[in-house]
Amino acid sequence: MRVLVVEDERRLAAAVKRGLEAGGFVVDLAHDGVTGLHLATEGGYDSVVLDIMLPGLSGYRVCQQLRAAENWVPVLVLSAKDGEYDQADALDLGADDYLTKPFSYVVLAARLRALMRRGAVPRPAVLRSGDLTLDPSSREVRRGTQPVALTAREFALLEFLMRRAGSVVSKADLLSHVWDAGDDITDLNIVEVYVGYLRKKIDGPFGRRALQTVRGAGYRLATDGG
Amino acid sequence: MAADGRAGGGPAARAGRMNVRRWWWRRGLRARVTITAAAGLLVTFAIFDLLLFTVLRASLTRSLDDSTRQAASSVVALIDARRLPPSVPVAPGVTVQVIGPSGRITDASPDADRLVPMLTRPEALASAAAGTGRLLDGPPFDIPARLRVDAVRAGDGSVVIAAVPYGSVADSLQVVARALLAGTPMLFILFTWLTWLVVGSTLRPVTALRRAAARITATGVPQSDLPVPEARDEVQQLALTLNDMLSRLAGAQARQRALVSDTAHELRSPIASMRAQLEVALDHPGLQDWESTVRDVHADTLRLARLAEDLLLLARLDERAAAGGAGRDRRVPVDLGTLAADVAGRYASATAAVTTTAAPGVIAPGDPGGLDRLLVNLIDNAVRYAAGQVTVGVRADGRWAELTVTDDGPGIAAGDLERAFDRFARLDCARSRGDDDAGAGLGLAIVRATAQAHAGTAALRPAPGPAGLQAVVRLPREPAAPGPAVPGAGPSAAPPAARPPVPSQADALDAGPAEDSDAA
Repeated sequence: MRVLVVEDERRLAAAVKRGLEAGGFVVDLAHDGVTGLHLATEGGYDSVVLDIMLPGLSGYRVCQQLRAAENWVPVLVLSAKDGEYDQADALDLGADDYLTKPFSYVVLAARLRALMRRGAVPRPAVLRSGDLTLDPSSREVRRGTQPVALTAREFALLEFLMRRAGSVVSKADLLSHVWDAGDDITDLNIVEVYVGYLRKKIDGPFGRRALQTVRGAGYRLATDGG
Repeated sequence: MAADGRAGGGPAARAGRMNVRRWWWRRGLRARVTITAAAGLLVTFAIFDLLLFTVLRASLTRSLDDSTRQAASSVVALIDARRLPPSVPVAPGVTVQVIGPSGRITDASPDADRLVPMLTRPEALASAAAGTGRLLDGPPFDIPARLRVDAVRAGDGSVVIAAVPYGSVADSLQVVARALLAGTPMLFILFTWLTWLVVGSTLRPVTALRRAAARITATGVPQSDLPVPEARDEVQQLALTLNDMLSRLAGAQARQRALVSDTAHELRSPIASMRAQLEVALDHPGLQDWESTVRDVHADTLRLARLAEDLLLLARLDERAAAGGAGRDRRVPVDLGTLAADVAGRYASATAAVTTTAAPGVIAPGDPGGLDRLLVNLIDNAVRYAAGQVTVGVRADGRWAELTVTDDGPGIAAGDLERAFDRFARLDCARSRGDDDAGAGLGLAIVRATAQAHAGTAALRPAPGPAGLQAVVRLPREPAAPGPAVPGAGPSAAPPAARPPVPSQADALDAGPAEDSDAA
């Protein structure tokens, strides 16, 4: 397994490299953001350990650019910044895990192994179907550059459909995933009503047909955004 | 309050006054203003009503007197013309009696009593002379009302007495009195109520301010969003001032939080490095080059120690600045040229040549240890970025001593010249922190804090040459100091305070002159 460690503390990086190599990993080092991004893009790594405060290009930007280039390599952010928002930002920008310094080397190695088990499957921070985008962290939906205002329920409905874009989702599935069991709704017609609302907002004004009805089965969101 | 009461009478009276006073001052502002206004209104209305009633009565009575006198005068005119008919002709409602010199009634109007005069002759004469009427009861004279009576003397010695019923005036006055008695309390209540409302609405912004301030106290977050009232009054000024203060507090808090977060970051980095190295070494003892591990951990320890030193030094400088410079270090005259040469001499083996161009005899009162540290920080910085040449300059500029450290390195962007003095400032993003020479970004912050502790300034500017950076520190110069340091005059010769926390060089530098000054 190949691991890239992007860390400007040279002695720390060297120690991590020594330890990981002793654990059977193949480790490359980068000491600034630009080199780190370049290596991560080119190198075919199984995971990346990324500092945030990097010379040249911050860890946030490295992570963001990797994800923008649809590079889904698991990223573990390693930082001395321990603020809530520092961690939330890194994760929302596409990082998979966050470890604050000083850290336990044992935990670092274990988390890396866990990340690699999950593999580099696409898990975009911002969902995209054609020109329709949905950002779960900022709760923004856009059609092209045009923002679309949705209610919380409509947003949840669209997010669920976009995560399964291209496949048919039954009304029962939508009801159980988008509506709280405590709402005590058993009438599947509510799904129809909300799908109607959603169409009026994401399709109607733009003359598109992203949200398709599949007779007898349910709904499908077109992967190309209609 | 106890002192106020001492001049009073008995203890009971004093206690009573105290109670009233305490009661009064315990009322809210709104209640006090309203009560005061109501008391004022009450007095004003009473005076106004009384005045109105009196003036009205006088004026009505005068006009009644005028018509009475008129009636009497017209009878007098008839008597004087000797054309008085047997029955005196009068306007309806007027009663006239003519009293002859004997005191008896000689003539009278048809409805008048012919035997009993309304006024005796002397009374009538007095009234005629005074020219004012008087009030009489009507019934004794067969007239069922109160009368206003006046008299005018005729040429033949008789006196004409005319009487007019006073009832109309009394009725008018009664109506007015009723109106005043009913209207005044209503007006009083209305105005008091209005005062209560106006004072309340004036004080409402104050209440809103207080609520917002209480909310801030509860949350501990100084938001500068206290409600500012529309009216351009004192309350608006208060709100604006408070908002200004809060926004400055918020700024200070944000800076403080950023500083703490930066400090934590800088402290964690070497600790993380040491911990990782030691844990990896312990995890895989067989694979270790122990000597290089120890050397690396040692390097991190040094870095951590230096960071702790810098943070402590800055904290002390901050504390001193917060104390307004009071209890400052021992100030001794420092020959900056000598100091510069001394510090520059320590850079013999540096990667850049450090040369000194110092004017002789530039003396500034200061803490030698602190100034030494200031120069070291500046030269460290310069050497780190210099292409090969660092120049330390010392010169006098009027009241100021000017220290410059110039390098021929790449310099920094104009927009960052000021920001470089921020704590933990990181400007050169291409510079790797793995380079151990690079500090944590506290060096220039210490330089500025030290300069300010000496009542001086510190700034960065592009070097005069084609490239490079020049740091300029200006310190107030020893007044009248030609030649070697001869202190003793001026504020610099303050008695030594607490022992300053300075490195060891301080002792060597500050020993001589300070002792000399005491001897001289």
